[in-house]
Amino acid sequence: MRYILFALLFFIGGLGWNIGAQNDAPRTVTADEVNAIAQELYCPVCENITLDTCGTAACADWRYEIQLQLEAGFTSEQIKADFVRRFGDRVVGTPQDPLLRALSLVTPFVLVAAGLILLLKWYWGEKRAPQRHILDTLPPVAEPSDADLRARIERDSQR
Amino acid sequence: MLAEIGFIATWLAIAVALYGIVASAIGYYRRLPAWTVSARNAVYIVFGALSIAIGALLIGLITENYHIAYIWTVSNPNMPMFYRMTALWGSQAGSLLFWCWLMSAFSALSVALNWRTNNRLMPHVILFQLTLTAFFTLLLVAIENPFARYWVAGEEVLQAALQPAGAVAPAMTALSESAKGLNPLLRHFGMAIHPPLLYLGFVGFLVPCAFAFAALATGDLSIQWIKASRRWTLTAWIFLGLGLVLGGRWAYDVLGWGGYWGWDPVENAAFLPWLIGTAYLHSIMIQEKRGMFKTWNMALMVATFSAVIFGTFATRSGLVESVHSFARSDIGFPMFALWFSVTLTLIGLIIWRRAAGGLRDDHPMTSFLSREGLFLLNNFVFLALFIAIFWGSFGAPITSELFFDTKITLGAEYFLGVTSPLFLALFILMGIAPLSGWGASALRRMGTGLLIPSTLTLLTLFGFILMGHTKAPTLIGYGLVALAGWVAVYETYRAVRARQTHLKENPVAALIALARRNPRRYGGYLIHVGVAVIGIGIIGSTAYQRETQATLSVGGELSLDGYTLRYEQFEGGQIAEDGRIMDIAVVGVYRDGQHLATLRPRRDFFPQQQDMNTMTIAAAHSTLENDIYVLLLDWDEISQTSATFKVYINPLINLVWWGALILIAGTAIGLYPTVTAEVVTRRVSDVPNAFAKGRA
Repeated sequence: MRYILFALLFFIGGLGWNIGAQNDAPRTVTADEVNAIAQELYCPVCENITLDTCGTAACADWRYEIQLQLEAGFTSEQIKADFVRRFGDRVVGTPQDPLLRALSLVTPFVLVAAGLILLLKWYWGEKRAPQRHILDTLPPVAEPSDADLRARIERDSQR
Repeated sequence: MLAEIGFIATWLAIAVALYGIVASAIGYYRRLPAWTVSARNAVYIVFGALSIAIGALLIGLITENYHIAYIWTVSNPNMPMFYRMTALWGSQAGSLLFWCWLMSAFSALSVALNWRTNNRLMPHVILFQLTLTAFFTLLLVAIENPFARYWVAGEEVLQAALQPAGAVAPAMTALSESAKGLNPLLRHFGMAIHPPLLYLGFVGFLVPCAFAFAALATGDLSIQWIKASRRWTLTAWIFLGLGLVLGGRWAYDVLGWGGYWGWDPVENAAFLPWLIGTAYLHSIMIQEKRGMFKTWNMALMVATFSAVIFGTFATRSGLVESVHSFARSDIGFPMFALWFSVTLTLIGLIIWRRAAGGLRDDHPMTSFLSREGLFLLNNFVFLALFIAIFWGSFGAPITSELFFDTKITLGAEYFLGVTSPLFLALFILMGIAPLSGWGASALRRMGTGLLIPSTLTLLTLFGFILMGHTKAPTLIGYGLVALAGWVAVYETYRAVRARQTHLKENPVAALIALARRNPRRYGGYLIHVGVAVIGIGIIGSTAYQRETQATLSVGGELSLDGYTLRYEQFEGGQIAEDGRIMDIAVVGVYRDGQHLATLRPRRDFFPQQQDMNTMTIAAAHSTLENDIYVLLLDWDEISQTSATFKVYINPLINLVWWGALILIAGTAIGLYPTVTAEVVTRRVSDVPNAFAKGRA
């Protein structure tokens, strides 16, 4: 019984060792996985081109670097952070630096909100202002009565 | 000789333009009409002189006159005639000359067509147009002269318009052998049409802005300046819109990234004036109908033209780095100065006229649910889009570099996040504004009018769900866009039905009659339909794009979204007529085992080109449902047995191009002159029974 127990423990231990060894081996990374990250990174030296579509040799090297990092178990966020550390905030679509990120993302909303406040202020001003009409400034014209109008038309029709 | 003719003609244009500016000022302020007539003739002469200049450069390109440095840079003997001609706008100097010529052409045409009807505004219209033309032409000869020639003085090669002392012209054979040729990116049919359309759009806004300036300067702030310039604005707007769409098509075909809009600063710079111009085209309707928003309309026109000059400055100065921009140039500072001074002058004039009471509205705003209220909200959303896109393209990157010494890029993530809700708000307004009434809210009418379009929208959504487009946010987007389109269709249908019922017309005759009687309304509805179709194409192709990349051996297959692609064979080293070397992969496309198409994605190599000498040209199988878009990324050079492909499935992308065609049709109707109903007058005695009835 003792021998059986030892054999079982040895087998389980061996299995665990084997699984651990398999985890240490680099996993296979597909081009699609690389492109998914490269899509979110801009070429550090080109003009507004994402890494997945950039055709230069340097970009091919960076894509290979992403593949190696994925194989080594890095997450997408870690890879992006690594690129930002090396090349600055221009390699990502929105800056990672908290201040720059806030400035970039919040400013348009602040400007639009300010515009909206101005619009509403103007609207309430219009509502409160006395009704104006360009014709209001002209002297009032007496409306002809029906009888007058009919008489005038009949007079005209007899000419 | 061609260079000398072009050079002299350009200087003549500048001299005559300067004369015309002075003559128009004297004509107006001293009340001497003969001087104004002389200024008008100056406009025609400037156009003639610049036509000679551009003709000289074009002949130089066709006849391969490589002594002219510009021609040596953008052309070579291997290039087909078509691309030799389009090389006219292939680089900074030539495109600037083309720009100046277009400006003079628009000026001449607008002056000729408005001379009788808007004589009072003409001196200032001429003054504004000639000032801008003179400025750009001066930039051309002073900084980016397209007529500079190569000269050899001893060991040194010089570039100068006139022959320097002791220099001789180099041998033509040496020049033709070393000529660089057009940038490969520009050797595409789209590039033959896209830049001229974009320039027509940009330059076209010169005319309405000149009328706005004239109205402000003369104090004639009636509706006249808007009436005179509305068709010019619409013309510029459609050219700019088509330029943007064709630019997208060029990017899709040539840049090889599976998309058409990359939120690049230069793309955005061309989009900004279109946005403000669209707001203006809506807003002037309120001034025409209700005498409101006079200051606002002036400001929108000024903002549109200001955005045009800013966009030109950004593209041509090297302010931003982009695949679409020209190389860094010295024209940056003068153009910035022009943008600043023109904008400041026009804003100053608006403030002055407003303070003097000339821009006071005839009616106050009564309700946000009235048509003018909804148009105002529409303007606000356009302005918000302008702010968001301007900030992302220029504001944030420049602020970050100036104050934090850090270069940043705001990409698709920022733009899609910020602009998507604004675009959806626009579509909501597009859906309900046509159902509203002038001067008062009409909630009941809106509700009734939305009933059938909403039903049709639900049916449309059902269709999208059947296609597998089931993400909730995109269904909301599809719904709002489709509703805007169906409202336009239904409103047109209702009007056709009314004519059928009352006038017994057939539907086609009724539709034609409607378009002739009210081209603005029905042209506008068709434009809304076009925009809705484009909107659906954009949502579908953005949200449901699929892509994969794989390396295949000959005979190998990859699958994506129900399609199978088989790598059939490789055809390497094919030499094209223009000298490019093409490496082509032949790929079969199958669905459910059935052969759909054979695609030939390729890589072009331009041996004579020093930089940017390789291009990846996609091949696509297009249907209304989607595009199967294949790129050849790499291949085994030696055995040629394996190749790497990137494949995209772009759903509904073709609706973007079809929508653009509908947009053109709508604008063409909108530009059609209104047929005014003939007023029939009859003597009352001819209809004796009328009063007999009245007396009874």
